[in-house]
Amino acid sequence: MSVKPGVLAEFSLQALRANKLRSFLTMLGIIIGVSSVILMMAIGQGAQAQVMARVNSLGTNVVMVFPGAVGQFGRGSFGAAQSLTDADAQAIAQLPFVANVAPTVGKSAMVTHGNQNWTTQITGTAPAIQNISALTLAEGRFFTEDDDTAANAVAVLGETTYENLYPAGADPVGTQIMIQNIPFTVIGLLQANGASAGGFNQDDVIYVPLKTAQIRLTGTTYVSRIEVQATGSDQVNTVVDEVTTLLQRRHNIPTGGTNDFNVQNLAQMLSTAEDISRMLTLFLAGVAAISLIVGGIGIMNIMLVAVTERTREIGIRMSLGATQRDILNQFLTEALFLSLAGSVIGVLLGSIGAYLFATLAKMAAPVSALSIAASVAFAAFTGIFFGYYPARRAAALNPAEALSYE
Amino acid sequence: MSEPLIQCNRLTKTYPMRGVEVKALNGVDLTVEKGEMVAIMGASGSGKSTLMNILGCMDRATGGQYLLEGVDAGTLSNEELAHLRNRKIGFVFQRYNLLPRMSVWQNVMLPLVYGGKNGPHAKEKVLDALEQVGIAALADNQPNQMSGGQQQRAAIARALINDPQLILADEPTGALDTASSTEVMKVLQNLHRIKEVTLVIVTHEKDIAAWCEREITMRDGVIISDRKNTGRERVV
Repeated sequence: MSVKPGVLAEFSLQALRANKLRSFLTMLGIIIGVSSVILMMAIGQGAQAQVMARVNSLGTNVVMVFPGAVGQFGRGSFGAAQSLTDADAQAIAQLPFVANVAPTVGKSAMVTHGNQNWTTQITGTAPAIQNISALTLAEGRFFTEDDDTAANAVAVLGETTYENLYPAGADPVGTQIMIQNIPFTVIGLLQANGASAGGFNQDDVIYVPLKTAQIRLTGTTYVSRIEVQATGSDQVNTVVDEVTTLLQRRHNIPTGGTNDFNVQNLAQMLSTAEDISRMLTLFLAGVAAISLIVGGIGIMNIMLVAVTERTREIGIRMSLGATQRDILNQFLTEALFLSLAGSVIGVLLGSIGAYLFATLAKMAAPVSALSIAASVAFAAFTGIFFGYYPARRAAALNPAEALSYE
Repeated sequence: MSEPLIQCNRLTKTYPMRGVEVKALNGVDLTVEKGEMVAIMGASGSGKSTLMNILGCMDRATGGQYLLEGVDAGTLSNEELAHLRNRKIGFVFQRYNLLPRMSVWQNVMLPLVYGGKNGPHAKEKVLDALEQVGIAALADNQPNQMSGGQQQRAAIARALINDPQLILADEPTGALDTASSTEVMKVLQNLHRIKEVTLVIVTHEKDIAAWCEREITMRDGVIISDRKNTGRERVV
């Protein structure tokens, strides 16, 4: 015959209303805790989603070969050394399990069209890049082997580059652009890739044939990377080993010597990056969870004060027949109310914060149902956990002493 | 009905105070039959409040035995004592002890709530009780909007809402002026007469004790006199 939950809720609300400012300040700890958990998890998941988008946009089963050794302090001469050639790429193309090979040079250059100019990344590469990077055309065509062999001055534009060179939105195919003052004919326009990861806009690019880039733009016979696509995900590691052995032989590197190139498994790199961003999310959520615990201690503190302050009330209730369980439940309900109300406000504030962050930082910060459920559950647990001790103390009071408490 | 409502045998109560044991009750023998109206008199420190606490099941005796309707309160659990307070005992305190921030009727309802009897007819019952003590019109007031006499009457309504056998009143008129005191005592006496409730009133005022049929005097934790009050001057 203990008191019904509805009545307990009424008692609790009466008590909380009696001290509005104090109740609010107590909730503030939970509000800050929950909103930061929500916000941090949203930001973390947004960052993770970006990494995933990058994985997809870079293509699957891709192995990258860069010139230069892996130095003691990281890749000291990464991409800058001149040790890879088109011939290396041709040799790699003969290996088993290799589906596509794209020797690539990159160069940042000023491009003009009419009176518009734009500085962008010029990528000189093989037509196979279309398969490796999963490029789709919006207009025109991609360049072919013949274009490459003939070193034709043809260019395929990325979406961002197009928007900047053709603000009026005209059809670019067949028009002329100037790259480093050398005229190129635009033959195609790529569909927007969408994903732009951490300042790396994959639509801000112009593709030209490798030979064209080497002869007309860079003036070297070296390439800055070779992109290799394996026939399947199971073959990626085999391809890494084969490419390494092949290049060691071609570059006359003695056993145990330092390679003048380095082969990287993109999927592996990205899964590492993904692991790191997941850990970052957990770390952020962990830091936020600490503030929830601090909020819980705030609840405990206030409830202890309330029990002392309301000793007489407890005595009166006991004289009217309240059992220890009734008193315990009443104070637990109060603590639960504080933490639940705090977490509801926290969820709202956290969601608003995530929205503002997403808008200002121009990246996704999705508020997941999981983070809401987890933080509300954790807040409720905090309320009960930290409310239990004060409630227990209230319930254990001797009725006669409580009643005569001044 | 032969069984007395209250029976105390060699009741003792000691409090530890700064390492010294203070004997608040030093062997009290007391029997109160059903339907009696008893005054307990005594100076402060005589042990009368301690006795009230034990009679009201608010505290436990250190030694001796307290039987309420033949049930040894010392053998009951805290929860059973709470149920006993709820069903059999009504309290009236010197300082009313109504809960603030609650209306009068909500206050009077509390014993019903703790007894699990706050059903659909509870409020009717509450208004009935308020009618009996003559403040039905103030049901929606907050305690701090009422005079001392009105608050005490609300407290009496609260004490009788569960139809208890025993009402314990600890200095019920201690904070009231003479007119209000008389009103409150009239209400208590009416309850006693009409509902045949057993009343135990702790007081140190002679003229309050004079309302009662029996007058017990305590000193230093023991009962020093227990006499029938024949000279009842203020029968209404």
